[in-house]
Amino acid sequence: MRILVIEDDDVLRDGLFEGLALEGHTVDAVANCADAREAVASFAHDVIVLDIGLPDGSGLELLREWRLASRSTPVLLLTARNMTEDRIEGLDLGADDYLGKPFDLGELAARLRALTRRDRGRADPTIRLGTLEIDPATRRVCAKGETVYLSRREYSVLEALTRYPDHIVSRAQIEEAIYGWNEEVGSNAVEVHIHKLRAKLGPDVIETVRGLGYRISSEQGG
Amino acid sequence: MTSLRLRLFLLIVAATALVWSLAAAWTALSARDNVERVLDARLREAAVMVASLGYADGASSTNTVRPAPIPLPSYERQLSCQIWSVSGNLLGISEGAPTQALSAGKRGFSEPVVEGVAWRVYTHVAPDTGVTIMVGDTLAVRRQLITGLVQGLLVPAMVGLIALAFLLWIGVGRGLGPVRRIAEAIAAREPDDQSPLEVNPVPRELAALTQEIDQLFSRIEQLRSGEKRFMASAAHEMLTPLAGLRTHADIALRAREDETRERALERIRQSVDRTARLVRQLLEWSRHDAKSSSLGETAVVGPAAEIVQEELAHLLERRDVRLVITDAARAQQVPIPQEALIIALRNLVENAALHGPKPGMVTIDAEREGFAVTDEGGGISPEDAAAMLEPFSRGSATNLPGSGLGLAIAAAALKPRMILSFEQTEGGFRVNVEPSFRLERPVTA
Repeated sequence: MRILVIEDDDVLRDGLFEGLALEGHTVDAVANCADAREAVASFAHDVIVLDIGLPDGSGLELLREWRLASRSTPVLLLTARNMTEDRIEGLDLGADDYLGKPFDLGELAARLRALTRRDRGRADPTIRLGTLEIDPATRRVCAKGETVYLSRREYSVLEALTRYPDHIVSRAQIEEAIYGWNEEVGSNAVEVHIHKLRAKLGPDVIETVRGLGYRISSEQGG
Repeated sequence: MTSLRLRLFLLIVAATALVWSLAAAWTALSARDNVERVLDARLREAAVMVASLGYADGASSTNTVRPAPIPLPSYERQLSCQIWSVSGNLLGISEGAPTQALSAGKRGFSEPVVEGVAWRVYTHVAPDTGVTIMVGDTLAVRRQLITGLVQGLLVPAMVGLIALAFLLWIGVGRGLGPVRRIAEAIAAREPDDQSPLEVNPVPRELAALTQEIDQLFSRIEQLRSGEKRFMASAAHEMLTPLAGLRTHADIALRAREDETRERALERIRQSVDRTARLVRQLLEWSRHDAKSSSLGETAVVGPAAEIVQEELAHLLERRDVRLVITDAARAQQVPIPQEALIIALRNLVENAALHGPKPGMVTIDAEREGFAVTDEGGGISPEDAAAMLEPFSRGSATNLPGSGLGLAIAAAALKPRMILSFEQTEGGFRVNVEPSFRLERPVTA
């Protein structure tokens, strides 16, 4: 899951960056409205963590802009302004969830997972594709009833593919989902991760569509 | 006296009673004079009238017979008349009159005492017959007449005064109706209601009062919303580093790699430092806010700067910043209390050390009648300069550590005798502190 964190406090921003990466997510972090606008315009994020008090404007103003422009990326507001009216205002402006500071990193990660799940129209937290089961909360993956251990990157690739089962996902889309801005992307990194996933999950789980990308079927092993 | 109604009532009644009493006294005196004049005229007329009846001297040569009564207009027998011959014989006497001569014979008015009774007597000598006519009435009767007349004037006046007092009490009460309505409107308000008073109609004389009250409410509302904003900002400033602390603590607990854990611990340390600084600044702010600055106090920059240097030794060492206090600055005297000077200096030096380069130098120098704190950093942009004096403002720069309180606290501590201005010099960024009345530079450098 690729997450955009918009938080002006550098200590907290670093914490979110590191903490959400530890949870297996790809994180982009910015500190002000201007950078946030650019990030949202340039990359597709699965969810946005937005602080209200930003130095060059209000996070709520950003949220209003995005919703007016029909950007539907789920937004979790993160703020110290914990008054009920602030929550109401934020939610009315189009925020999908609200978390007051300080918060538990685990709770934040769970809420972000719930937001993306809802965004994709799933009620069940576990992703089930035939005999393949993925639990985003624990990042536990089971193939044919057996637990499979995946690295952070491998998991991210699998998650990117399972986001739209039966659809072709391009190499660029996978790269964008698993690498942040400042990360060096090797020329055949995606191929390497796909290769390892096939070795762990079975050779038929991920289908290569020549010249277009990869696809995972919703009828795995079925 | 707490009741405005009673106060007004008593004032008006006292004034009315005073004027009324003076008028009554004047009327009584005037009435007495007039009655005296009328009664005297009556005595004289009666005497002249009796003289015209033509009693001749010697008509009764003997004094053995009681003289015949004189048919006088009686005035209910209050008037007494005697007719004396030239030889001193009593020729005639009115009924009830004393037989002893009413006067010693002196013409005109006199007030003799006859048989123990005081009289007012007019003595008339008939020019043709030489007969002496004495007409008089007792002073007691005259006083009774005057008293009756004055009483007749005063009693209605007293009754009128009581009636007037009653009407005044009602009238003052009604006249004070708008004041009562304003008081009721204020009394009925909720403590947090700062909306304008809505009392209508308000008389012209009270409009100024209600306007002032409304303005006061509006100022209180502004103050309250300012405080609310400040509290919200303070909470934000407190909760954000706490959230950072919590997040890095979570990371330290979860991290499998030592490097990640150490990074998180270092961030925790930074966050604790920053939170502690913020708490200290908030305390300084609240202390300064609660205290009114006393005029006339002065302080010398040198000792205050040394205290600040000692307090910030750890930060200066960590940031590898050398603090230079020039001799001119050491001797400089400024028109603010020492405590305020220390607060201002600490925040300015702390800001300079945090935002200037590492390693670097911060200089405290004398500046005309004030002082200046200069660092070697890039300073703040002119657009941000004015906003930086507001609490919790960091300007548009997002990479600055700190709460955004430092400059605001320094400016607040210096007020109203001294003022801050910013200047970008070749060597770095300079904050000038000068007496407010001498400032010629604009606040934005």
